[in-house]
Amino acid sequence: MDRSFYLSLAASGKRLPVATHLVLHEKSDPEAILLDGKRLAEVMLETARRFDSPLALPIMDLTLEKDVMLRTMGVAAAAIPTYHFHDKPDPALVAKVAAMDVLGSPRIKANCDSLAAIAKAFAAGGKEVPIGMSIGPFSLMTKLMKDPITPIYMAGSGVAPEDDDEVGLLASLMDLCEKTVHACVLAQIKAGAKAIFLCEPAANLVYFSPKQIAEGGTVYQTFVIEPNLRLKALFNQHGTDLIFHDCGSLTPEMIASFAVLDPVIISFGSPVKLWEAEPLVPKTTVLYGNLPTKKFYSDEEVPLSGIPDLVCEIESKLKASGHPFIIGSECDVLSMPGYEKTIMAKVMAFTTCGCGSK
Amino acid sequence: MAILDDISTFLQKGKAKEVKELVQQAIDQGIAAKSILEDGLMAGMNIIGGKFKRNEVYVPEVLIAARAMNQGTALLKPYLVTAGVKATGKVILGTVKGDLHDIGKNLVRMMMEGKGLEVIDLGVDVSAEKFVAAVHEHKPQIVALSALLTTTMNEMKTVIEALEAAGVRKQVKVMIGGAPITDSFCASIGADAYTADAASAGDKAIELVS
Repeated sequence: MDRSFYLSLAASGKRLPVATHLVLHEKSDPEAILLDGKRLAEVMLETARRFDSPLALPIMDLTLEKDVMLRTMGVAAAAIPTYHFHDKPDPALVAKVAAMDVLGSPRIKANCDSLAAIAKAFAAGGKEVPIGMSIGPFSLMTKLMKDPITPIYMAGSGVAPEDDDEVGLLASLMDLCEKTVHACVLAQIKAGAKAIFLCEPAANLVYFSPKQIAEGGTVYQTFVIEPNLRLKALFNQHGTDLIFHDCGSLTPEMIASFAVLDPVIISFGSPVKLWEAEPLVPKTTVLYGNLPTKKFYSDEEVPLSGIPDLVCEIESKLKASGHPFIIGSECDVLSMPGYEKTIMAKVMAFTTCGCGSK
Repeated sequence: MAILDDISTFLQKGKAKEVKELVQQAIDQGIAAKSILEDGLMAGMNIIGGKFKRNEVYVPEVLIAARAMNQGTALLKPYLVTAGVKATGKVILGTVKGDLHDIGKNLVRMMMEGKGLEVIDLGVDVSAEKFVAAVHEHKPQIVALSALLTTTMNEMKTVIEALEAAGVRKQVKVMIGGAPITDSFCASIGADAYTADAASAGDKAIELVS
């Protein structure tokens, strides 16, 4: 898509949630829909239309890439969710992952089928743009080690992969994760995704020490920025846009470092104040977020009546800055049993309300 | 004692090798194991916990400090047993069923261990039945539950109901934590305490077992 599409969307003043999970769980058989590309496309379109959005988004399920990688490597399905590597993966298995057909995963197949269906409709004049979804290489790696933080810190202290087993494992898993994400993203691009919502929620203060970075460490560049730059090069080859998402707690240096990725939209979680991040983000990148949707279930924390003021605070401060922005959720808005109506009411409120008392 | 101060200082810097060497030296000098633990290792970990609470250090610094503490404690363990030194209290800890996140839980474990508590970590994706079985087996004073997702936090209520059904709810205090958790959620499910961060969880646990 031309970048002006996203800038125009921001200028339109629309407020857009990532809410496909919420709509999916209004259905009687959400699990079956996740395996059926046609029906999944219908849910993505229903979600987009309900919130008057031109972006047809999948659900933000960041377990799919680990699943397809480990299945390809022969790990038993039941062991996959909690599987951690203790030794460097066999190079033959890494090569197998690099060459894998991710459509062998029924969930990824359904996702790609849904993108293909939406892409077909879009090509025929439909309004909704098919958007893919993937975990980023760094965040995927954090799911593969019992303790990734210590070797990251050691690597940041100058310990080389050849000098320490854990740091060596970290380096080899980063390579494996890049190959996995490339394969998963490529399948979605081939299916017709015009942009990819790339999620790096782990690229945050939990995994990286700001003290170490302030002392001159290049660890954030090495493990977050450089792998994503290589991924961005792949996007560029295919004319696919990057929507970059990181909902963690971030330092200004971390936020500023994303500029080199040149995303069309950057999405932050509620730990980041958008108006404080704004000067660190190029004005060609639309800021997205970041109402505290994870706490929408709680009327004490986020009362329905308080939504307009939350929206207005972001809107007024960003309008003053002149930075293009879209008010939205801080992540995928998850459906929570027993709280579905409460959450949906607040999502509807933030997408439609005025600015309250301010 | 200078050597105990050194143990604390090196622990805060995450220098596991130096901590181990100093703990061995302290043992060799005949310093009581309890004193090495409390005035050296735990003192260092408490300082790190306080700094973490004040955002002066971050998770990676806490982890490498905890690693240094673990190595020192491992060396000390036989001497603590011989001297009859017991943990301040016992905690069963786990991330609830359906949730695979463990960093917050691990930090809580480190902070609690840094306070001298014995922590039995059941891991992630722990069912209510497993929590109940662990309470029967280990007789803790505290059950600490972690959840990162709104989709899994209701499982905390299931655990509390299972503890009630098993007749052990009154024997334990239930602590809960995780990104989406709030005080009102804590009250609504009948848990005893919610803390917003790992260091506060360590402090709260000590308060609850005192």
